[in-house]
Amino acid sequence: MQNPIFKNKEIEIKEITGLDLVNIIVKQNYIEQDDIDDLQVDFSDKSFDEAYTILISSNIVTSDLVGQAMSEFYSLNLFDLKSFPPSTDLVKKINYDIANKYKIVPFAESKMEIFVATSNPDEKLISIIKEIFPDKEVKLGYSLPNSIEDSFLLYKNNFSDRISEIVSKGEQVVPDIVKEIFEDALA
Amino acid sequence: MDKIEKLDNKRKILICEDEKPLAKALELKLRSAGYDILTTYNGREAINLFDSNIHIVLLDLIVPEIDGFGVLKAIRQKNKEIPIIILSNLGQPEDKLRVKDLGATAYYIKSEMPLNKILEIVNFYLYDSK
Repeated sequence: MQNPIFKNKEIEIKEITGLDLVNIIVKQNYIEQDDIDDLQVDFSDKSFDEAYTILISSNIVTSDLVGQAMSEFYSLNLFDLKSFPPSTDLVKKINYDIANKYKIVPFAESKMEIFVATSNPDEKLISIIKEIFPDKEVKLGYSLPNSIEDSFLLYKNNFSDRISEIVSKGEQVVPDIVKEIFEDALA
Repeated sequence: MDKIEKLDNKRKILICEDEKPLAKALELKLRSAGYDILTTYNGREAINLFDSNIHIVLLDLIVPEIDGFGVLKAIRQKNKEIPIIILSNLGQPEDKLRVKDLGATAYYIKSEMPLNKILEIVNFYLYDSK
């Protein structure tokens, strides 16, 4: 589904910063402000991913605890995309550009409901998703950004299809195949 | 002893958990709910810290010095009634059977238990189950 007449494409959603992340996990009582102060890091100019990496590598919190703190803060369920990966068919029901812009991944669906994971929760997402799934009630859940990004790999064709596509084009065959091999190995 | 805090006049929880980020988060979460917390990262200290002022024990099975099975056995010899909640990633049936035989009150797979759920469990065993 390519969502060609998507009306909400101009809606902007505020990105969660590194400072937001730190403030949230302190507020939700997963770490103390003293733990943050001890790191002697200025989080005010850090992205979410940068702050997340600092916190995890400092061993003061785990990714599981960060996920719990974030989902608690936004009063959402925590959707574990790593343990329960969604199907490719389901993920592709949202156009990649929209999914990537709003950091949303369909997680599961029933006849009446669509469960969508996001790393950037906002009430505005409901209307955006509702436009794509007009007949379903939208159930939003939280997933960490790295889980959302991993799910985006499902938009890529499988390895053999990508190689066949490169060969059929007949241009830069070797460099493109090497690139695909590296990307596949890193995925 | 890495960190111990003792307060009086509140329900007191003994946590024995060697994953420090989890132990700390658990301690903060339960304290924010009004409980007093004693946290230790090893089994021997858990046994030494246990006394009649403790109202509930949250116990991991894989902890240094004396494992959770040994801690459970030692605490049960001192007190037959106190709730002892096992939070462990050991999920084999024989582990569950063993802790049941040793007198554990309940057994939960740690990785499947968000902190809010653990708080609910603590509330249940301290208040609702009475």
